Amino acid sequence: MGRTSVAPRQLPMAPRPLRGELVSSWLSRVAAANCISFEELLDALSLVNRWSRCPSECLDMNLDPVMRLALSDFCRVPSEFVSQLTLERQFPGVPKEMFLSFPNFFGVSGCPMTSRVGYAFCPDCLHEAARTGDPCYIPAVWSLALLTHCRVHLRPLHSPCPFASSKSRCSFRALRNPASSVEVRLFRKVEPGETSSPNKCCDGT
Amino acid sequence: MALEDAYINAVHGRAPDPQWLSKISSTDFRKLVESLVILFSSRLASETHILAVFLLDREVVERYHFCRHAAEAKLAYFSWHWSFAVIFSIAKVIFGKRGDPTRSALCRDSSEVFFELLRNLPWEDHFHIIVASRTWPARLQDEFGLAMKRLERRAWASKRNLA
Repeated sequence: MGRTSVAPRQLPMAPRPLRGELVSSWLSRVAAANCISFEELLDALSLVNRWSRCPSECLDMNLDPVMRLALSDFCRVPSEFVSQLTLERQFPGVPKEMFLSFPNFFGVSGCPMTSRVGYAFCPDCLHEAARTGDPCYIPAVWSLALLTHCRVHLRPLHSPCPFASSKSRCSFRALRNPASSVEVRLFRKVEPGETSSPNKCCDGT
Repeated sequence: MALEDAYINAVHGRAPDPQWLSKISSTDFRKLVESLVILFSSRLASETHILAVFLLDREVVERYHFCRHAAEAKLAYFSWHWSFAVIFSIAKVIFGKRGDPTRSALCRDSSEVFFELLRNLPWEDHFHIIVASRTWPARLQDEFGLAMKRLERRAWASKRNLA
C-alpha cells in the first residue's frame, strides 16, 4: 500500500460483477476499466477509507464486511452483489484447503498485498469471450484445486506460469479490442529447461 | 471429469449417480471427496512423494509427462499434473482400477486399488489410511478391509515369515 496519493471517492468506471465470478476477477476488470493496476485500485481504496492496511486478509474468501461495504461504495455496486461473489456463497461448505492459493503475496512496491485465491484457467474460454465481445472474467470454479479440466471445452486447464509470479496471470487491459474493451494476455506455457523472459506472453506481446 | 462435475454438483446439493456409491447424499459425497483429496495430496512422514503417486499407472505417467520429482508443498500450490494425480487417484478409489465410471460400470472393485496402495507403503504408514477410511461409505470400507486381509495373507505366506 501507499503508492497512490490521490484517489476519487468513487470510481468513474464501474463494470458490474458477473454471476459466478471471483471478487478478485471483478476487481481486476474494474481496475482495467479505470486504466489502473489491481494494486493501485487497492491502494486507492485504502486511501479513500484511510486504512493503513486492508481489513480483509483475502479478497475472495471471508471478505470483511467493512471491506465489502467500502468496495460497494467505491465501485458503485450494491454490497449484496459483492457478497454473492465470495467463495463461501458460491461454494457453501467447501473448506479453504480445497482452493488454490495465489503465490504472489508481495506487490510491486514490496508491501504485502491483500491475498486472493489462485486459479487455473482455460485459454479457449478467455479467447472466446474476447472474440465475441463478452467480458473476460475468471469463474470462481477455476479456483478449485481439484478441477483439472474446462467443463466447456473439455480441455486441461492451464497451470500458472512459473515466471509470472510478479503479475496477475491474466491481465485485463482496456486497450486493443474496443468491442470487448478487454485484452487478454495469457502467459505462455514454458517448456522444461527453457529460459524465458517474464514479460513474454503467449500472444507474443 | 465426471468426478469433478459430480463434486461441483454435490457442492450445490445435487447427489451423484446412485450407482456410484449406493445412493450417497450430496453432503456425504462432498465430504468423501474432500477427505480423499486431503489424504492423497498429503505426504507421509517417511515419504518424499504425495500418496497419489502410488496410484499412478504407467499409461497416465507417460501420457501426462510426470517428469517432476515431487509435488509442491501444499495442495493450494499444486501444479496441474499433481492436481490431476490426486483426482485420478480418487477416481480409481471410487470407480475401480481404470478410474473411469463408463468403463467400469458393472465391476467397481476398489480392493485391488487399495491393495496396490498398501503394498507400496511401509506397514507403519498403513495406520494413517486406516484412520481416514473410518469415514468412508460402507462399500469402500469393505473393499479396503479386503485389501488389508489380502496383504496380511501375503505377509503370512511369505518365506521370510519365521512363524
